[in-house]
Amino acid sequence: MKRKIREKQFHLSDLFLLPICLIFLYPFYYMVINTFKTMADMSMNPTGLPKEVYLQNYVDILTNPQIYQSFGNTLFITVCSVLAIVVIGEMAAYPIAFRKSKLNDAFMVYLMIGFLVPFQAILLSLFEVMQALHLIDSRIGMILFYCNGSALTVFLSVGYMRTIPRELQEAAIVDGCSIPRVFFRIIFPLMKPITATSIIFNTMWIWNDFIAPNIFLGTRAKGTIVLEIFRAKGQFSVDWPRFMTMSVVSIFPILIFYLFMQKHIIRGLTAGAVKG
Amino acid sequence: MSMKKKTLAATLAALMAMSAMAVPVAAEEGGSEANTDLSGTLTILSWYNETNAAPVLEAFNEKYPNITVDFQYSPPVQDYVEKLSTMLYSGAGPDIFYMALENREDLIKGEYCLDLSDEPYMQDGRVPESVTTTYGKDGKTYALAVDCWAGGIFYNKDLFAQAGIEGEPSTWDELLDACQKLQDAGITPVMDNCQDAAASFTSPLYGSEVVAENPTVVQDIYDGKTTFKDTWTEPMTMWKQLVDNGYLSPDMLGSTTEEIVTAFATGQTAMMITGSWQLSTIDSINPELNYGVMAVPGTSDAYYCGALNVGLCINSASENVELAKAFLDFAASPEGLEAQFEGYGGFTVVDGYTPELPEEIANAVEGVKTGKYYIPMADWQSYTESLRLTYVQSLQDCMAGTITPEEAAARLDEKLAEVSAE
Amino acid sequence: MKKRKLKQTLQYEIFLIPAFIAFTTFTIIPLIKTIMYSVTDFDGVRHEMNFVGLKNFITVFQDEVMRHSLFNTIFYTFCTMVLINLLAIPLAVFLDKKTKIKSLERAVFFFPSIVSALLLGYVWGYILSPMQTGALNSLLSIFDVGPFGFTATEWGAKISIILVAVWTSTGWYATIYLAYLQAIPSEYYEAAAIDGASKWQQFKSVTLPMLAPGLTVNTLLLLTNGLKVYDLPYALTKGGPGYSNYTVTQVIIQRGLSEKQYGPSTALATIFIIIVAVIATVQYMTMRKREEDLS
Repeated sequence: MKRKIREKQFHLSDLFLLPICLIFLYPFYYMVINTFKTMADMSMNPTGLPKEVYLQNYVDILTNPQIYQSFGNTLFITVCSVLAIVVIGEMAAYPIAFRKSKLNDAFMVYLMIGFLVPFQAILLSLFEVMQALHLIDSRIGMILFYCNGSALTVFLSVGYMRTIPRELQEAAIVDGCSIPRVFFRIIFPLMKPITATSIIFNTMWIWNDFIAPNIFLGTRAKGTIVLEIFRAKGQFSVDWPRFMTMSVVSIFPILIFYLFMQKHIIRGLTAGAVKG
Repeated sequence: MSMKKKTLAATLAALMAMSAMAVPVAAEEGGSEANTDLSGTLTILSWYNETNAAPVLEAFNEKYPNITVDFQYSPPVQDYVEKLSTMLYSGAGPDIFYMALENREDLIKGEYCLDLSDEPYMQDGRVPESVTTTYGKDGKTYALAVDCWAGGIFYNKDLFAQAGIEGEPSTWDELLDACQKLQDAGITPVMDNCQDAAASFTSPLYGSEVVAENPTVVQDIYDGKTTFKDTWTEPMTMWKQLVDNGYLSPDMLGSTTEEIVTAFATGQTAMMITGSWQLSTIDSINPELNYGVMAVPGTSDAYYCGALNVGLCINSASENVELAKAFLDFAASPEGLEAQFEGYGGFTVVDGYTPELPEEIANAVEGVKTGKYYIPMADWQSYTESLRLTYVQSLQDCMAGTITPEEAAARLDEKLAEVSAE
Repeated sequence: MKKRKLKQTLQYEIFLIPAFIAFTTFTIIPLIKTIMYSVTDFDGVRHEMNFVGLKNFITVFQDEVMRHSLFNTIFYTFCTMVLINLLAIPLAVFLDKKTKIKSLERAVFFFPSIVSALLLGYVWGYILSPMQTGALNSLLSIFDVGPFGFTATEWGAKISIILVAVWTSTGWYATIYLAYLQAIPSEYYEAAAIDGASKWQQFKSVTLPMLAPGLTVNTLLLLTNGLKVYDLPYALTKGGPGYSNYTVTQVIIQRGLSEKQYGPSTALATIFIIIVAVIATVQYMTMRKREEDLS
């Protein structure tokens, strides 16, 4: 009842939240508005509207095949890594959630160490290991490296799995289902909220990661979009409008992902985090 | 940056086309006799980005159509040095990479580079001796540098005239006077963010005030006969006067070099200190700008900024030594030199190609060729990168006012003590 | 029977193997190597090393830059943790209404957290530029003040970095809180309202306790992310002016890779790992305990 009454178009808090929103968006306004200016226009007038709308920046950026390649690389690395993280993480959570054993407890501690060690701190040794495995300058290498990020998924999954009624799988086992089958047929589909949460967390991290690709991926043809921004900063450093255009273009795919996932974000987090 | 360089290159190419009758264009001959015997893939970690390297790779592929170049790039200085050292250490080094003053010691110490002293271009005297002294050790030469850069105080002639300054200041006091005049006329005298150890006020001042008196001063410091503090305090104190008198605002520490160049090109500051790589940038922002490049005046002499550019090395563990050697041969050939000048914009020092210099920088290049320049990293033969980083950071802290020039100089001693204790 | 049980156990434990391999290869082995290097004179150039005991650790504590970077990282983590939590909880409460405008507002506040921190650092660099033409300075010039060098002093840069980080991430953490808020059954509020509890009392007695697990999760995330920070300060000030705003990560990379002081660099890394582990464990324990006390 009470909630119903509150469901109106406008709320008192909007009076101050909306202005804050505008301030919040200012950097993006600044970014977008300058993509429509020439260099000279921007240096005279960095904050105002453009004298006339100049579209050449977009033409230049969008006709450069490199940007599509970087998008492709980023998409490939992100999608594969996120899938791997979700599968590996939820798999590992399965025995931990349902079987109490010293081995499983020890494994949780092991994971906790992995979760807490900042990878930057072990960078050069990590590089050596990846080199020994021939994973440097390789997109597959990046994906394997990102599998490291499954710890968070394990933690979230363990909590959620414990809320799944035991009877559900016990019945299946009695019916002669093997345990891997039980996991993939029964448990995994029930994990949707956690899967959604993991996808969101990891996509945001991997898509935007700078330090690992910068160190592990050398060839430009294999590079990610963040590396292209880093390069653009060096390359067009004086041509701010072009740099801004490059930035706006680079945000686009993740913006689409966000709009697509927006509904799931809150729902996934609600189901996942609360029980986790 | 590359965009601007390209504009400059285009302008220069046009200039060169006009004087083509005087300068024999070797590229035509080179292009016709393609070498198809050599084939394979050559990996390069480049100091220059794709756009700048494009003319070089193109010209190389014309000559060696069957060699594929696997090109990688990392922005200099720090990112490049870090990336290269990680790759080399783990055995994933490229066939060809660049040696800079900042990684010279490590590359030589780690025995990562092939000795080039028996190569034809070293033997026949085309490559000047300065390359051997800079990038060599114990009679061996490890890198092929083909060009140099020059720099100094870039000044806006119109703004100088507007403030009533006649001619270039020839002593430090005259420079301070000029700053005062500019400030009185409501013009920002100078902008600098102290991010570049190579193009800074203090480096040429150290040359004119200290090294000119005692050429072996840095060796003396390493030998413990004198200290950084005793020798660097004076140039740093002189430079600090710019800050103390309000000619150089510490706020500029928050700016990027690109912003300063833009400000200079649009007449918002009368002076900045930088190197020849910014000529094309200025040209692209404001081709009408009336400016010159002068040396940093000391008490009695004036020194420029400048140095030999980075040099090409062959990885000693390379499996493609023959291909790599072909690349270096090409780099030292007239068509290679021309392509590198076109792409990188450095001033060629190897015989075989003479680029046309923009008039603004001609004096500075002459100054560098006659030894009237100073770059500390060339003298800091050991622990170069540690000292360079400390130097830059200390200058910034000094500019921000958190430490005195004396303390800034003393930090170099502390750093040297720390790293040499390893 | 026993055999079947063992088979079943094995079938379960097999699920741990992929994660175990990934962790061992990409975290545990490099971690052990790092700790090993920290007690040697290894320089990352020559393939030789000698045992030097705790010398490198002494260097870390004698080195001003390293001490400073530890301070900066912990200061950054503490400030962002407190500020973001303080802002995200009320923000989440305000956003927890079902109106059209609210979903727009949610999108706005969430937006910065989906963009790369490196890029945001660069854009803020332009905005905070000390030049007259910098975005903020040219706005301020309307009121005839400035130009200011916002990032030109040690504390100016520190505060700028923290505020930009708050701007970047508050929406994200508010979204997590929002998820917890929406999981609170409305009956709780109705019951409290029937008992005559005021809005503020409802917030104190229903909302806050129900947010406690969210606080645990968010604080843990803020801690680990804060301690690992690199991109944003690097893009905004490169750690400057001077080395006043170097982060631990930046020092580890610079010392290890650029300066070839691999010993001190790995010693700093080791100390840092210990600090991270201790802080996170203590935080997690106390938060869990508080949660249990509350519920």
